[in-house]
Amino acid sequence: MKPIRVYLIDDHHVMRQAVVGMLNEADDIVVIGHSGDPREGVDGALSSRPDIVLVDLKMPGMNGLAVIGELATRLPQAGLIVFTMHDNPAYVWETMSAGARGYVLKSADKSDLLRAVRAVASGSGYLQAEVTLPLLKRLARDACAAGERGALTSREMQILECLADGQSNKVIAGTLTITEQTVKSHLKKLYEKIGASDRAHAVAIALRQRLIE
Amino acid sequence: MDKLRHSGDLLPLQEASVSMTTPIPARKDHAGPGGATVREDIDRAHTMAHLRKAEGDIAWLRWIGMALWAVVLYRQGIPAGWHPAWVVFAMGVAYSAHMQWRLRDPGAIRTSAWLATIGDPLLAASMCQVTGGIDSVFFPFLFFTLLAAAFRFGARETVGVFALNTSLAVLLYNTAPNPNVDIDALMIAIFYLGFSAALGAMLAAWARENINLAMTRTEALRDAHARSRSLLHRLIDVQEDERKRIAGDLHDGMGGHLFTLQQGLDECARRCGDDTELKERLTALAVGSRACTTEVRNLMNELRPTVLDDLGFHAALGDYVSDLADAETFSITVNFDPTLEGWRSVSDAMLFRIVQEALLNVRKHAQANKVEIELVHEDGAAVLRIEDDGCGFVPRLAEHGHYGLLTMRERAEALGGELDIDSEPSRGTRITLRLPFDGPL
Repeated sequence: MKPIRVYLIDDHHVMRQAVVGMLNEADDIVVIGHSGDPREGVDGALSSRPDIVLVDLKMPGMNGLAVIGELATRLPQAGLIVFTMHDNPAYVWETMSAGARGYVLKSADKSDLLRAVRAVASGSGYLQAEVTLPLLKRLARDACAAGERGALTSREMQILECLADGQSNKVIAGTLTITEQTVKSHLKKLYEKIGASDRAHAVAIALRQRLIE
Repeated sequence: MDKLRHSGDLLPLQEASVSMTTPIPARKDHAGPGGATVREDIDRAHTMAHLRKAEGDIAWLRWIGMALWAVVLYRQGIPAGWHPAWVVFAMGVAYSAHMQWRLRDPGAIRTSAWLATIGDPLLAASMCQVTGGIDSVFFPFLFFTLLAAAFRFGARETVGVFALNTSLAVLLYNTAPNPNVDIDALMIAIFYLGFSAALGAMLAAWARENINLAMTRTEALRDAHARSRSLLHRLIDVQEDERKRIAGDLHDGMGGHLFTLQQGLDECARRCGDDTELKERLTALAVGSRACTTEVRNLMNELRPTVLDDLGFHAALGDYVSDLADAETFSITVNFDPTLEGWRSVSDAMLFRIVQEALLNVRKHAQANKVEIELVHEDGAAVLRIEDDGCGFVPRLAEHGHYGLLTMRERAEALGGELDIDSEPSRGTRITLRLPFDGPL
C-alpha cells in the first residue's frame, strides 16, 4: 500500500523533530519534508505535492490562516490539517472555512494525530474532541443570535413603549438619556424589524402582535 | 440617572473666573499656531472678559453717580433750567447712556474702556468747573475715576490717569475762581489724588501678583495632569505590548517543549515493558504535561487572545462571550451590526479590553440576570454599548479608586472616543463607548 505522504510547516524546530519522528514511526505514513518558514513551507509543499500538510497557526512572517488559504487554492488535492496550541472556536471555524479539513491540538495524543492524518488522507475530516464541543456551542450561539437579530432589543422595546405613550423623539431622548439622533436611528431599525412605515403604524403592529400591552 | 461624561477636554482654563487682571508678560513656551503662546491667548481672553465685566459694573456705578449728582444739585438749591450745572448733568446723563449703549458691542470693549477712562475724569472736572472748582462737592468723583482705572487696567494706567486728574485739578484751580481756594487747597487735592492713585495701583498690583500665581499654578497643574495622562496611556500601551510579548514567548518557548515532553513520556510509557508501576507513573506524568499545555493555552488566551490579532474584535468577542456564558449565571446577548462584523480597527485590542473590564465588573458586582452587548452604527460613529440589569452603582463615587473604570476611560480616550457610564443603584448599568468610525479597515 502506498504510504501517506506528509509535509509539515511549523516554526518550532524541536516540535518539528518530534512530529517527524512520531509520524515516521507509523508504517503507513512518511514525512516527505518540513519547513520552519511558512513562505518556504508553501513552496516546498507545492513542489513536493504531499497528501497531507500539517500547518501551525502562529508563525512569524505569515499567518497559518494565510498558508491554509493559499494551499487550499493551489494544492486542492492535499488534505490540510491545522496543528496548533490554540483551541479557540473562532480559529476552528475560520480555518475550516479557509479549506482545512482537520484540526488537532498540540496537547493531543500521538494516536490523535495519527488518526487525524489517516482520516483526512482517506478523504474525510477530523476535529479533535476538545475543540468540537466549544465549536458546536459557538455555532449554536451564533445561530441563536442570528435568529434574534430580527427580534427587538430591550432599547427598541423601551422606545416602542414610549411611542405608544405618544411621546415625541425629544421626550423619548430625555426619558432614555440619549440624543434625539440616536432615537431616530433606533426608530429606523425598529421600523425595519417590524415592518412599520411610521410611528402610528409601529404602535398598531406592536399592539396587534401583543409586543406591548 | 446619575451620569458622568468624559470627552477628554483639558482643564477649562478659559472659564476660570478672574476678577482683576492686567496683561501678564507671557512665557515664551507652549507656542501655538500663529506664533502666539497658549498663555498669551489665555491672557488676552481673560483681559477681554475682565474688561467686559468691569465696564458693565462701572456703567451701573456711573448711573448711581448721576443719581447722586441730581440729588446733590437739587439739595444745593440750584434751580432747574439752563444753569451750567444742570447742563453738565444733562451731558453726563447723555454720556452715561452712550457708554451703556457701547457695551452692546463686546468687540469694541477696549476702546470703550479707554473712552470711559478719559471721559469720566473730564465729566467730573466739568461738573467741578461749574460748581466751585477744586473745592466742589463733586471733586471726590475724580478719586473714584482713579480707582476705576486701577480696576480696569492696572498700576501703570492708574499713574497716567493720576497725571490727567492732577492737570485737571491745576486747570480747575486756575480757571474756576473761588475765593476760598488757595494753593494749599490745591496741594491737598493733589495729595488725595495721589493717595487714591497709590491705593488703586497697590490693589491692582496685588491682584496681578495673585493672578500671576494662580495662572502659574494652574499651568503647572495642567502640565502635571497632561503628563500623568500621557503616562497612563503609555502604561496601558506598555501593558498591552508586554502581555502580547509574554503570550508570544509562552507559545514559542513552552509550547514546543511541552509537546516533546508529553510525546517522550508517552513513548517511555509504551516501551517500559512489564513494569506496571513505572508505566502508571509515566502515564500520569504525560497527563500532567498535557494539563500543563492546557494551562499555558488558557494563560495565553487571558494575556492576549491571538484571535484578536488574527481575526479581529468580533471573533474574539464571540469566543470570549461563548466561554463566559458557560461559566456564568447571567445570559449574554451580542448584537453586532452586520456591517461592522468585519470591521478591523487599530483599536481592536482596546475595545476588547473595555468589554472585558465591563464584563468583569458585571461578574464581580452587578448580580445581573441579563447582559446585552451591542456594536452599532449611530450618527456616523461606531457605538459599543454594554448594558446589564444588575444592581447598579453611583458612578461618581465608584470611579474614585476604581482602577478598572479609570483605565476603561483612559482606553476610550486613547482611541479618541467618548465613554459614558450611566448607572444608579438598583437600575442597572449602561456603558456606552462612542468611537469615530473610520470605515472598515
